[in-house]
Parts: sequence; C-alpha cells; structure tokens
Amino acid sequence: MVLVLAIHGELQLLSFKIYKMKKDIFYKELAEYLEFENIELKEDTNLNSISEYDSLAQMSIIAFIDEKFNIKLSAEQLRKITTIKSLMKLIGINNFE
Amino acid sequence: MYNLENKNIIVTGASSGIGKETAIKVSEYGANIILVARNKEKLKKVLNKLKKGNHIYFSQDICELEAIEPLISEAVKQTGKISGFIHSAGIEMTIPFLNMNTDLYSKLFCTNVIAGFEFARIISKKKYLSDTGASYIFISSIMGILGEKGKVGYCSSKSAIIGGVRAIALELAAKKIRCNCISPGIVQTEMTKTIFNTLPESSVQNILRQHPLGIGDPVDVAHLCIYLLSSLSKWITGTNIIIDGGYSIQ
Repeated sequence: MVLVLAIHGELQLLSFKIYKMKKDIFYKELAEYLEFENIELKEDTNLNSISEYDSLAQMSIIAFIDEKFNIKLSAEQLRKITTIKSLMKLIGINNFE
Repeated sequence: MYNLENKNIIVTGASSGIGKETAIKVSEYGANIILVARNKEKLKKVLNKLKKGNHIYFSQDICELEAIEPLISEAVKQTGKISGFIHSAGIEMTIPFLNMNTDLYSKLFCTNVIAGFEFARIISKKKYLSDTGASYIFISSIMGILGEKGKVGYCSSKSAIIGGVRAIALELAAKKIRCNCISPGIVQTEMTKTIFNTLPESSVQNILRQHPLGIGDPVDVAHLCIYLLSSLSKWITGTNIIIDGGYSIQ
C-alpha cells in the first residue's frame, strides 16, 4: 500500500510516503534493481559474499531505498550492513510485512 | 571597475550555497538583487544579509516554467530592467546509470538546464533587458567535464549547460549580452554534504586529496561572478571557467 500525502504549502512541496512492503517482494525487487543474476536474496544473504556487490551496487541500494521508502541512507551507514536482514533493520523493520 | 551600482541582477538558487553567497557578495558591489528560490523563510534570511539596496525576492519553484515570465515582469516593474542573471539553482542526484529513468532525467534537466535557459531567453526580450546589455552566468560543475560513477544525470545536465551557453552566447552577442559558465570543483555547501553522504568514504577522501588548494568556499565562486558581471570581463563570452583548486589539472 502506498499512501502519498502531498502538502502544497506556501514554502515548498513536501511529500511523504508511508510504505509497507512484503519481504519476498523486497528481496525480488532489490535483486532485480541490482541486476544480481541467478542470485536469490533472502534474509540471511550476506551481501559481502556476492561478487557483484561493489560501490556501484551500494549506490543502487541507496537509490532503491530512497525510491521505495523515501529514506535517505548514507554510504557510511550502508558500509556497516552485512546481511539483507541488517539492511532491513536499517530501513526499519516496521516498513515490512 | 567592480562597481555594479544600478545593475539589477537575478539570482536563482539564492537561498543556499553558491547562489546565496553570490547574492550577498554582489550586493556589496552596489547591485540590486532579485532573489529566486523555493524556500521563503530562507530567502528572507538572505535578504536580510544583503547590503542596502532595492532588493526583492520571489519564492518560486523554477520548474513551474510558465511562472518565469510573470516573475521577471514583476521584477522589472519593481527594480528596473535586468543587467545580469546568475543561474545557481541546481539539484544533484547519485543514481547508477542502469537505475536511471526518464522522470529522473527530466527532473534534473528541468532545474539544472531548462529553467535557466528560460530565464535567459525571457530576460533577453527588449522590454526586460537593460539598454546597456547584460551578463548571464550559469553555474555548471567540474562534473560537467569529468565523469563520476553514479552521476550520469548530474554530469550530463551540467555538461548540457556548457554546450548551450556557447550557442546562446553567439546568438545574444549582438544584443550586448555576454553569457558564460562557471564550473566549480568541490565547494563547501549543503549539496556537497549530500553528495559526500552518498559516496563511500574512500571516494570522498580521494576527492579531497585531489584538490591541491583544498576544497573551495562559495565566496571563491562569488568573486568570479562579480568579475563576470563587471565591465572588466567585457571581452569574455561563451566560455566555461573552471574554478576547482587544481582538481582537474592532474
């Protein structure tokens, strides 16, 4: 479910997304976004064990999270994550169902 | 020679970063500043920092392109005809090429390129343009010349400014309008912080190391704007001036 609240104020346009994503959809869409071929992402997948997981893939994850959850992660935050589960914790476990 | 008195200068992106600093500095040389940005509260703060003059501000999203001509018309009514324009409004985006889409390109190009060109086109009409001509300055970026991973949208939009300015300069020379680009390297602004936030720490350190004179201050760019607005630069048009502390010479 996507709920978009747009406030047309005098100062600026603000938009908030409240988004809950099914976990299996998250794994699938993230893998597609990252173009990880023949790799099935799961909660316990360690990103550092994937050969295609490089600095560019990290940028893609930042862009993906921003687009889907309106959450802006820093490269430094992302550097600390290991598994998909730790990424989901960073995003906020409440954002998943 | 740096006297800018009685010149009315429009500055987009005037609420922060290079635009804000340039507006403040240009006002110190006697110009009247027309501040344009989205955030009204920030604009009011900048207005209060300008040296005494007939300054005004417009809280406006410049990608509402149909609003540009009424804005310029009102500015001319309130301050007089326009002698200068600085397009400092810009947005950055760090998204790998394979994840880009047409909406993202449109958003970047609208703010960074099209809105600026629209301002310049409309100011160039006889009814808005100073009888003594004008100087237009577009703030591009060193990224408009160099490449960086994840920056295809930003790099291409900044590069488009540099290309467009050459053609605009040729067309407008007969109207006594000069049109130039400035391509700064890394300058300490909020946008730079955002860019650095999305890059790995190793990349950030690498970029910092590659600035022989260190990273820049917005006022460094403001000083170049003052030169380009003044008559000292009367024989300069259609060019792109790099100001990057030596970053791109290596």
